[in-house]
Amino acid sequence: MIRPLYKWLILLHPPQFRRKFGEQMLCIFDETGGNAQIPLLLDSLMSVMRQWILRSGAWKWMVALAGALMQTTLATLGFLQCMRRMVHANPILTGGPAEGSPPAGMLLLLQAGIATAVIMSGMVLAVSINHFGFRGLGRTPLRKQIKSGRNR
Amino acid sequence: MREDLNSFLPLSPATLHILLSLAGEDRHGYGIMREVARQSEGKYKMGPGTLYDNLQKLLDRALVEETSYPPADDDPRRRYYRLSQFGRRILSAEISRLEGVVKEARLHLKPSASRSE
Repeated sequence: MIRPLYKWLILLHPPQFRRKFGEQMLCIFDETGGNAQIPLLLDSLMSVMRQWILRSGAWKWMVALAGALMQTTLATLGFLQCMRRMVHANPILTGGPAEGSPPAGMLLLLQAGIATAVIMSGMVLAVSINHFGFRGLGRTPLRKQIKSGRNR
Repeated sequence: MREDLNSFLPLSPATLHILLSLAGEDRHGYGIMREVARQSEGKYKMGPGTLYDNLQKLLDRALVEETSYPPADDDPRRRYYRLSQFGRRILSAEISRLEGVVKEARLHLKPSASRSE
């Protein structure tokens, strides 16, 4: 009963970790007999969370996604708000005299352009955080540092 | 080079225990766990999840290496690990650091102990 549960917990680990250490973890579980196996379940559960949250960089994906969604939402809301104000203020759209006011089509295009630029920048930011945040701030510098240390 | 070693220090308790357990001989995961429990007289126990998380980091940092050929009569699922030369230097540096800490602690704790007597 406990062994299948433990095996299932191993399967929940990130693929790279599971491929490398999954069999070895199960081997240790088999060698640990009796009641000593129960704490291993908790250890494995903690390990699953540690590997996904801290080691796999999944949290950076989540932050990037949340940032992108937030920017998109703000841009959309801003765009709608501007459009509403423009409709109320523009005499052409409200049926008033057209003298001295900018063309409504041009203003709409301008607003749409700004909104698109904000959304695009949000997406670029999301991709940048994921790409450079994981590779640039993660393991690479440390590896380089170790390699340079070993080469000396 | 000294600066490079110092950038790895201080070692976490788990890392220190794993490196210490591999200082004497090459061991597999379960062997490391038992040796850590023995060295700490049962006060520090780590599960496979904690062990392999730390081993992964030590392998990435080249402090520990996987041995090429495990014994033929052993469980094929087992992998053996050894302390690299670089890892040995790091461990020595950490032990020197800890010796300094202990020396300092003894120096400061002695007078207060004698005062209380």
